Amino acid sequence: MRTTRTTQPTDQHEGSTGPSRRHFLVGAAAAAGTTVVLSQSGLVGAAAPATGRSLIVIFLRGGADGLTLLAPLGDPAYATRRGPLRVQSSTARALTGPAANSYFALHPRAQRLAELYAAGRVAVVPAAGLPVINRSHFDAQLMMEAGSFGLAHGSGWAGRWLAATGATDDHVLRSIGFGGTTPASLRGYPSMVAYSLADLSLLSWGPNRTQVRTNQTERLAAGGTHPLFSTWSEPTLDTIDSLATLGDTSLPTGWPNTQLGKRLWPVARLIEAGFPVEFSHAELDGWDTHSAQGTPDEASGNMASLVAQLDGAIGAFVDRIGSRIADTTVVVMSEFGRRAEVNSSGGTDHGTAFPMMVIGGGVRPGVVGPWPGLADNQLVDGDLRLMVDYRTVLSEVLSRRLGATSSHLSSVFPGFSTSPATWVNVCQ
Amino acid sequence: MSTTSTTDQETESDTSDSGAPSGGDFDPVAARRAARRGLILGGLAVAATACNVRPDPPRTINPPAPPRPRPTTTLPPRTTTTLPRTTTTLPRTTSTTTTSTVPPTTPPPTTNPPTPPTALRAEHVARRLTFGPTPAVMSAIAAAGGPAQWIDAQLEMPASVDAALDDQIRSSYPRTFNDAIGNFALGEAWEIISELPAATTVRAIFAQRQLFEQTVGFFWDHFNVDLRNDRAQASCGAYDQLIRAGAFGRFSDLLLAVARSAAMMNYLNQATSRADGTNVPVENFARELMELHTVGVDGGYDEDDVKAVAHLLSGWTRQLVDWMPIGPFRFDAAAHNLGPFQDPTHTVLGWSRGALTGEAAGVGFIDHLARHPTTAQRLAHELAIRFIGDHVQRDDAVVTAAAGVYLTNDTSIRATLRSLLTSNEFAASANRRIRRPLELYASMVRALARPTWNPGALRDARWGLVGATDSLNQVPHWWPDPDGYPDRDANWVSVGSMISRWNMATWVVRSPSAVVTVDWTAIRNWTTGTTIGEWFAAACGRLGVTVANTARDRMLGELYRTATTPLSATGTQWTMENLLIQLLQAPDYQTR
Repeated sequence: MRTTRTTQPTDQHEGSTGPSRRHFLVGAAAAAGTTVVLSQSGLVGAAAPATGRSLIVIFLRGGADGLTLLAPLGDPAYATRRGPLRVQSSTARALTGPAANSYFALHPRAQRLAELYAAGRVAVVPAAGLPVINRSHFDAQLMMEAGSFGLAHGSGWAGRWLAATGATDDHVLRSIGFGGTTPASLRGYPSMVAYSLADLSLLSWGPNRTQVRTNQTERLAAGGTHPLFSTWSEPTLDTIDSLATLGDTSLPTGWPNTQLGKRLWPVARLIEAGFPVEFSHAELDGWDTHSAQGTPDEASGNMASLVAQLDGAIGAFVDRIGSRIADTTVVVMSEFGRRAEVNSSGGTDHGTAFPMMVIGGGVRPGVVGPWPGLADNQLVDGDLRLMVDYRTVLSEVLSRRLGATSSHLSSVFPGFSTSPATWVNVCQ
Repeated sequence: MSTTSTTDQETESDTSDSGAPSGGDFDPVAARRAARRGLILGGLAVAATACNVRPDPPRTINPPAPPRPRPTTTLPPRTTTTLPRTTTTLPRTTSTTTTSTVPPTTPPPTTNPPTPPTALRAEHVARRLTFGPTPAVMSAIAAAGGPAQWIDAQLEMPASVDAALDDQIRSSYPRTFNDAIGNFALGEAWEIISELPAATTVRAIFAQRQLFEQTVGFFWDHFNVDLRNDRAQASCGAYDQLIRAGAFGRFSDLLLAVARSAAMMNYLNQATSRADGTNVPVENFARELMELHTVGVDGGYDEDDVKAVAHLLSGWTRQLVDWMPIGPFRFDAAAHNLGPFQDPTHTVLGWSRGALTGEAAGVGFIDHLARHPTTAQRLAHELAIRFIGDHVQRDDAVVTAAAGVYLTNDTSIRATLRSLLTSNEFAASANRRIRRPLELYASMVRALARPTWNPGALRDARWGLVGATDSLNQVPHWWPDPDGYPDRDANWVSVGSMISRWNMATWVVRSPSAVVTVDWTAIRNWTTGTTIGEWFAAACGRLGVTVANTARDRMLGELYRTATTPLSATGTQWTMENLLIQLLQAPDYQTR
């Protein structure tokens, strides 16, 4: 039977502790006719705060141009710095609602984000990021996702959070990402990565689940193979069993058929169905707009298309999870912003600070944290000055939304000193 | 649930609409939909790779979260972002900077102890240095006089042995041999998106020069260009030929050829970089030249050096064709400005231009980079990871020895490879690596398929071949970033990819097509015996999988067979299919 799931969505989800992983696991295992759980794989080992809440990180790969996403229209230097690439006040999306702000405005294509802002669901930290100038995509992404700035990264910040709070009954869906390779932030915890939920089933004309399980178990017991297969075989088999309970998981009509849309859809489906997804990561590539960035009002421009894709996917995601938004937090970040000046190819080169966004339940809405300004004497080496360490924002979210303690945070961001006194209050 | 239909809907164009500038009239959605219609493997379930590792050891139970204190201030800490200048030009000083609150952490200087003398086994050489053992490979190793001699033969084998394969690929995938200029219409350039991955896959399966093909794959990752980049794709056929011409030559030649190639110059925005007037040169190529192509991110340069090198290379462009800089190489003196290098003693990574000016100064710097000791060590380490295993550390003796050979042999790639492949570390590394997706697919086809393809079938099969590796996220030359497909085993195994690995076995065995013709008569004749048990033993031997008799009997029992069931019995092919899928799904098959 595949209908014994114990964690149906509820209408009154605000404030509840959500489904426990243990209950889910029992239900799923019973449904699948198996008693194997992840703990028997020896992968995880300690209890978690278990808030029942979800954190989704959307990573904009390539270094997104924050000065176009969140335009500082009130900054007197903005128009001259950005020239033809600037957001025009006539078409910009105004920041209205309980935290109305006329100094900043969103990109013209960020309609859904503007609506969410007006509804009090969005906090933006306008000049946040990696507190190190490193304009290499790979190095900056790696440092940011590792959450520690040495060169040898065995694990990522999210992986350490998940491992530190892992419970013996963790389900493999506790941490799941769709599309591309697993980000460095998840290293250190056995997260699941796939393109879609449907891809997480065996072909019907091959050996069935039982045969594969027996074959793998037998072969692994015989020894002599790579340890990665010993690690991954059993969680994989468990996952196939659990996801068989979901039925059809194809992209629904009307859902944005874009890279980010397809990556957020399965997360929305799992959260909607009550699966205990605690952490998820989705990425949107292509923000490295060295040339032909396009103007904000050019519907087909590179930057405009990217903003529209980001905006549409977040809008669809929020719509789909409904009341569970109260227990869901979405963080949008990028490895760096772009330089203040436009380059000779009609694009922008690698910069420093980027407007980090926190969207969802329990957010304290508004543009929070200081704005450094774009005048000559306010820039640092041609860049927007970085005002808030991205770890400050993530620490606050982990603490106020997912129940992280200061001791958790010291292992999530080793060597980084953070406390409520330094937070910018993106959460209530 | 219909797996294939949902897969189609959810995965098509997933990698093609990645937000990169799109150009031309190529419709990735339509192309991939066509690929998944009727052609082999096109509907393979797509799952991504992952790079998870074992988590930290179990911790004690954490206390529940305390009440959250309310902060009293909204002021964030002032964060310093200053970048200390690295003053030394010695190789391998770190240029990574940190805040004052985070001291730089240096990785512990770990190295592996030298490996004691180890016999080089033919099976290991065949699994590691080819895209999958075949009886022909095993015979060639024996005929050469042993595995060491076979490696030498592979390193010296002339390109002409694969001339017939080249001809077949030229007729099936014509755009993989040239750039668009004068060879085919620019409007057809997008065809390279499927033609080159298909050509690479076909070469992996059929080439006699297997070690050469492995090395070409290594350098494609090292000097990666994404075929789907619309600035670069018109030049990617010529780029493949350039890498193929240089993969067994001198690294210094290859590095310079890549730096002057239309594909790389467009991919990394070098071709549109100008330093005249108020123009600021694009840093992209200058950065990756040092970070990815030579000394590495910790190689001893800093941000100012990147800007200086961007100036040094300013003016390097290509002649315009239809307004795109994809014609022959051109040095545009008007766009050139040496910047900090106007001072002839200005030094980056131990190099100053002296009397060199203009284009020659850039060439001189690139040659210096190729011969830099840090480049030698890093390249030798990358090759060691690819060919020995990702447990090899950068300062291991086997790497240092190969780096020395590289430097004393005029950056010879073949000499460097020979040094690594004759090491005890290589001999002792059997089955330490996981088959990457292209290796996994090619090995299955090499083990099962009948090599009787005709050019027409190859052409029609190109999107099917793309789909074959797309299932595990390794379509050749589709990696979006300049750093190439990852080469750590942990990047290629996760829950999602395990399922796709298992499903790939089902696809290859159960989906015969114009490309993958599984020859069941030949497979039946793997044994001269007459029973299923004898055939099973032969199959295990061919695929390099060890199965105990109890497990064999269990597998046969599920198929209502025993070891003594005659091979002539009804349902022999069905039985062989079932058993082969399970053997190909076995974890010991998935290593190399």
